[in-house]
Amino acid sequence: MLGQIWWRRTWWVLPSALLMMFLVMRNVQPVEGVVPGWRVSWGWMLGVWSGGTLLLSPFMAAVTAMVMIRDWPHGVREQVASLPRGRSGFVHIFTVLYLQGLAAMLIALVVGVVLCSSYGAPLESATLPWQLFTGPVALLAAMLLGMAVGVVFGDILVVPLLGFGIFLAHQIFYWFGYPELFTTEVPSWFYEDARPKTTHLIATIALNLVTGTGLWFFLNWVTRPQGLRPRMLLIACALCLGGALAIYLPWVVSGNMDTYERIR
Amino acid sequence: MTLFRVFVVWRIPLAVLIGVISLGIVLISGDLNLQLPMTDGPRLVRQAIVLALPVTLSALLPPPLPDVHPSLLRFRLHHWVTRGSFWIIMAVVLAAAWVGRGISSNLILFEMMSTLSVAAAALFFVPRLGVRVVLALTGLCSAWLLYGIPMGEVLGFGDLLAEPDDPYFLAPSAMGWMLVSMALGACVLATITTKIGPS
Repeated sequence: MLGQIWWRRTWWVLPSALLMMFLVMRNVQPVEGVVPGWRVSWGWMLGVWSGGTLLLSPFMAAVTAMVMIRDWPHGVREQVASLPRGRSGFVHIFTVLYLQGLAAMLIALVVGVVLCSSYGAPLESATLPWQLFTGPVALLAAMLLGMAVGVVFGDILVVPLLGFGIFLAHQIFYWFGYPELFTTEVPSWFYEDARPKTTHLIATIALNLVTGTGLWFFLNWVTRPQGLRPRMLLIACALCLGGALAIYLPWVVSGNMDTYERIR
Repeated sequence: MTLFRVFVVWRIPLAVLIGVISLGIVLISGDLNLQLPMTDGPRLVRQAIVLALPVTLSALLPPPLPDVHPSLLRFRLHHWVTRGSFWIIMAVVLAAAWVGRGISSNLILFEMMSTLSVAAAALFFVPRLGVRVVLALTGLCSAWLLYGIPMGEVLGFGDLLAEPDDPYFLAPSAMGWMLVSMALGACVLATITTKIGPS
């Protein structure tokens, strides 16, 4: 089984990730005196669900960095890098951790779907399928950042710095409608005649995907033995990070503030 | 090995650097609103720093060679120097965060309880259980920043969002004072009783 050793070493990640998702999804305004209020709107529920990354992304990024530092440190990586499949360790670690993060999101989504369905919430309040992807790709990018930081720095000091850093970075452009990196907005209320804006969701997905791809190229480069690191990987990484900037800047230049569009 | 080199190995300069950066942030932008979502009032930069600082500093507490540490000549010195620098840095940053800012007494008490509880947990558990505790405290402190204030009001710290001159201002109850005293006691115990010798 793929990465069985990593499943055994990181089994505690799934319950912890579930707790993080629960902490966000539980704490939203009640509607008609009942919590969670998001059960009255699919769009709101999916917004809060992907907004679970507010706590989940920093936590999972810190977890990924910690596992790299403790269980796959620089010395071990150097020794096995030249062996056949010697570099597969970091792929396995990432896959096992990301699948646990995704499983926590999936369980939370099932709970959300059951509650919305039982209430009979109107489906047109959701922007499908895009709202289903913003959270998972934000988590992907955050965990790749955690892995890159863990590989490069190798000191446990980065664990709290990464956790608090990604959590607090969420607030920098909170009141602006820019694409969101690593964590997504947690809506605290809903509009009856509006839903999340499609272009904003697509830009958020693209921004996280491109950033994640850039970090993946960087990881692919940095985990190879010195002298065997293709420069093309670094160039690809730089291109992706440039692409992320190209996705982000037009929103800043236009001073965009809207993250919702009217339901036609 | 010079004393300075020893301090570098024990990562004291790094702890001082973190303290200086935290102090600078508190002094320059301590009263800025963090704009956290899902909160019932403002959460300030100062509040984030006083929660994050003990967790971050605790990552520097484990000795460089944990397996052989108790057999080393300076292991007792390492314990007291690292804990001493932890508390000196904490005291300086906390004083800058709380003194002379016109903060209501109940909010200061609540923040004291939060910070001292985290510091006690970090001092006691990180040297024993390692970096997983740092990770858990990081997640816990992030969630506490979001949801701590309503919990504080339930625990007896009065109205944490009202100004002191508000006619409906509620002063902290005896329970609030007791919780702060307990957190302080836990800090003293966690600092003193940390295992420093061979068992």
